[in-house]
Amino acid sequence: MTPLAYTRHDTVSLSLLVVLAASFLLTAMSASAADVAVQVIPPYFGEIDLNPAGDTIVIAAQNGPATPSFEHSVITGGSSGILALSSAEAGQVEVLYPQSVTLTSGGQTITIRGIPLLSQKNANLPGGGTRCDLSIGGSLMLRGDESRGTYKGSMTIQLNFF
Amino acid sequence: MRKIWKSSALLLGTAAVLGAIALSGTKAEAAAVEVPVEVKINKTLVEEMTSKLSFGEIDLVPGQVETITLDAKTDLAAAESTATKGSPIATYSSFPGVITIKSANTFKVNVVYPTNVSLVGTGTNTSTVTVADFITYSTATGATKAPGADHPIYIGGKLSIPADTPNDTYSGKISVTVSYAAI
Repeated sequence: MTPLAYTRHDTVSLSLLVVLAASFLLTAMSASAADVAVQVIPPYFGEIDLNPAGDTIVIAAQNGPATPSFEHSVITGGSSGILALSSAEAGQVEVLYPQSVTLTSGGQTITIRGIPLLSQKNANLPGGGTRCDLSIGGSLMLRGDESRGTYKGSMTIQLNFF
Repeated sequence: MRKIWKSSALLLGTAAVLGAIALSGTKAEAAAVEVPVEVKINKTLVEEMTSKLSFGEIDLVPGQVETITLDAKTDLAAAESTATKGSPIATYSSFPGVITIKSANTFKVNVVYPTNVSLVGTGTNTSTVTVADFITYSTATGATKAPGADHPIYIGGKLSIPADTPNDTYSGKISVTVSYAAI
């Protein structure tokens, strides 16, 4: 055998090593991730009867569940969102929200801002399957000339467990 | 050939160590959740000024400071201006200001009136008269709007006229802030 042949064989083995090690890592993560149950109810800004002069509707949920505050429009119902977490083991969770979310309807857009500022970002998971809720809020500024309709979008929430 | 076995055994051993490190180390896991968000907007709310506030045609008694009140708070049917010093006011020439709120919903209507406002002569003179006490003589704040029905806000006030104010039409604008709250 030539040194070159040995080298080639070692390279193959190294690839196997990487795959093998990666599979260990992935198994560890997915097993633990499966231990945390995550349910999300998005924030609901209520039935908005918009004032033509515009309005800013705020759900200030940084300290817990909240309802929308408003001035010039008429809002019926509405509440902060819920991020419900439960795990077998105790631990901590850090939640990273997007700064804003754009919703669209028929070519028009509206934007929810201030989500990290108006939401709960950290919690201790008690473990034992006990549920832990974090509240999700945001601020919706409307100019007043938006068309009536249902504006839809989505946001990605990143969860880091420790 | 023997060397190949040695090498593979070494690598498998290394992999096992790495796997053990992965399993025994501090856990830091991450997950991403996609959350749908929805906002429904209706536009049934209308605010309109359906009548301007007028204290009427006042025939001012000479040499007297006059005060004219128009009470639109409690008895709208009799909401006519009255003069404390007896200056005659033409019949049906006075009427309260009206802002009408229209919406399909029911809610609480909060109103903020100004403290006072000056009216300036529209002719050649620069005299002014003052309207105050809007809170006392206008629709109270916090009233409940019934579902589907129009909700009027009646605006009255107290007009103070200095003695011997020149004949003229005096006009100005008041800024009324209307806001809403869920019941």
